[in-house]
Amino acid sequence: MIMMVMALVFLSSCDYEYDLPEANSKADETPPEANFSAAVTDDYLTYTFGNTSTSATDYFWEYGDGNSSTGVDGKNTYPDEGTYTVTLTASDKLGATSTYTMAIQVVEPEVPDAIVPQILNPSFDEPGDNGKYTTPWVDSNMGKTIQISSSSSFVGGKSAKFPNATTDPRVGYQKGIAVTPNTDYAITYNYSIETGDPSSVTVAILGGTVTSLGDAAAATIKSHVGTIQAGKTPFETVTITFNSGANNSISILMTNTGTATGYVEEFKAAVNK
Amino acid sequence: MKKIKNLTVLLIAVLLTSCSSDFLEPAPTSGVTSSTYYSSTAEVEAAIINMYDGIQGVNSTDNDDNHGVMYEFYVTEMRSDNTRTKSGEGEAAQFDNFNVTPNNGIISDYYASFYNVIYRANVVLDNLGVVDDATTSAAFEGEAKFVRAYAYFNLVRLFGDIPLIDRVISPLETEVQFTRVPTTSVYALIESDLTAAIDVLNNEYKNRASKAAAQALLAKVYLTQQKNYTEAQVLCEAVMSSGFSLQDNFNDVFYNENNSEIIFAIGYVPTLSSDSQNFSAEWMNAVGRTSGVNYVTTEARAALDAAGGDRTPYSYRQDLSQLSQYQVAKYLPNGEDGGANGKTFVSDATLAGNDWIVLRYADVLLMHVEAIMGASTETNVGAALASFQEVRNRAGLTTPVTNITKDELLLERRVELAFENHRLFDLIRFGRAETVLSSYSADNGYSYSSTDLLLPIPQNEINLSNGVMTQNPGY
Repeated sequence: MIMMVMALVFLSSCDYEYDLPEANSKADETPPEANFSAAVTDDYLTYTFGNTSTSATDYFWEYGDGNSSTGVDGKNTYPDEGTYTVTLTASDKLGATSTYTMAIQVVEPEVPDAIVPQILNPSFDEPGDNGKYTTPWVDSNMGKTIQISSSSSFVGGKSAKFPNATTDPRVGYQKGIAVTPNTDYAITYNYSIETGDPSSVTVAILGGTVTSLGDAAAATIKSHVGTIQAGKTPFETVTITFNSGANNSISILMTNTGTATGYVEEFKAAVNK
Repeated sequence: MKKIKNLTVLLIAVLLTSCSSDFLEPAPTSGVTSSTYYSSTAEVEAAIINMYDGIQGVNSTDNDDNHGVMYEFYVTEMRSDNTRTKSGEGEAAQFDNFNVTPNNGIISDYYASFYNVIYRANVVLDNLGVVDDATTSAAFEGEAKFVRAYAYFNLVRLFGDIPLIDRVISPLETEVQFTRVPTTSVYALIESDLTAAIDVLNNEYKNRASKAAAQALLAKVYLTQQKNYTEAQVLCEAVMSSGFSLQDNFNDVFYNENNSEIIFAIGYVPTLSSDSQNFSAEWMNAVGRTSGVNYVTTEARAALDAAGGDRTPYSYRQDLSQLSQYQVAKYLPNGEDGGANGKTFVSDATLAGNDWIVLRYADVLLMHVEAIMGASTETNVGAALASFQEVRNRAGLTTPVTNITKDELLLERRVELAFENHRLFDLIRFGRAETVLSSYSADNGYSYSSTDLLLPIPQNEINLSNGVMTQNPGY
């Protein structure tokens, strides 16, 4: 019995084959894998490259414009706009290599010009919905719509009209006028007020949009109260300069006080440089 | 034989009755379980307080405890060019020299701490049903969502793609525990949580979530993603009209707790081991467990000396026990200076009560400038100049500023908010991490590379995930 076991042991042990390690005899089980990310800096011609390769010890960067480097992370300033192919070759000490390439589009970023506000129907001379010249200055949530006055003394023949504010208050309101945030603007308009009891015409620039007259004060960026009462003509020209602040759009709100009739027309908007 | 028969019948009877479903009814009143505990508003409020307790962390030297925000300086400020360890040795020094390994215990501590905070917030959200009053329920929901967003915002900036857990999960749900989701999905949850919090919270608390805190944090979330600049500006302006103001004396910001400048701070109470903190002691010379960490670098001192104004003497000081070294002066234990050698404290410095400031008004003013600057590299908009000037005036730097470049804003943030765990995130957000940290690393013989901007996922998480979780590149 024991002999048999011993024989078995001997037999099986005889199957052993030597596998002496030799140079390069074993496969590289963790070959390098090249990878990187690219990021543009404030200077649009300069890029930084973050190395995210694995299992590599040495790196060779070719930036596509003839420049190269051997550090872990890369950085290159390109001579001009264009498309460049960046190649990272990652290698380990066994000589295994891996490459990764990425195309870089070098373009000078455009600085967008500030939006010039587009005030619709700025002089109340364009017939809008159903031929009404009040479009788009109507908002029933804000108040009763302005009247329109026709006279040869108005530019284009028509203007907004505010009758007796104590008995018949009217509101002109145009919203959603696109602006660039934090930009200086100038809005110009003409107004006049008939002679009589002390009266005024107010034009307010509001940030964003409001849904009731009560919210207007809090949203007002800047306003002008016109109190010159010299009759229907001559017109007084007012320029409101303001900064749009944290607003992508503004609204214009027109109201009046007193018993004398007021007129407003000829809105113009411009970037104030 | 008959006896055995009887016994068998009895046994069967017992077995049958034991199978009845109401075997354990009525529910035991002496044993509290998580599934039965939350039954009243007061108990859910306890869960709310529990979230802040999680952020506070456990004041201990035990590696197995979660130290919460107490250990945050290791993974943020010490990875920036502002601070380092005093000795340059040990696990903590891995952060100084950009040689962090995945088995670093401080990283797993922070990771576990903030996922635990997320769990605590999810517990609140899962148990809102028992809160009868709708207003209270909404406020609790807002608070929990703010805390969850705050935790995720820290984690996503430190680790990149991370598991996203938005409900209480069971131990067997390993897939959601270990599947890393893209940062965009994490940011989507952060934004929706903060938006919800802004809608329902008010500004009653400084040591708990508030509307202003959620607004300021959301502004920072937008700026971090380099998007929605106008929304960020609106949020900053909302905070700016909520009654906060700068302290006249910079020192009071840190030693006059919950002052007018504080928007959100993690509250600590001295001498109680359950509610105190130990980071103040760790920053001193061998007063805490370490020989001294979060020591001020030469680079940070140079920046503060040149641009700090009145803030400099209140920001760092010489280590009186080791004159070649400099310490953070903003969170001296319980406001004590440590006497002639700078480390002799009357109270127990390791049980300090200094609150940890997360958001303060000066940060919001400088974010306001950043939002207005937006994608450009400088600004001269009046509103931005005013906010910038307000911060500088308090520091005694009253010369009017007429134009602000991105680098000037970054420097102002560095000297205003030094050692408050902003610097690393600021560098990354401003796109300056690569240039600044690589030259800082070269000057000091450290080994920075771009993959060091993200921490490794803790090795124990990767091991537990059974191959589901992948490591960040470079580790």
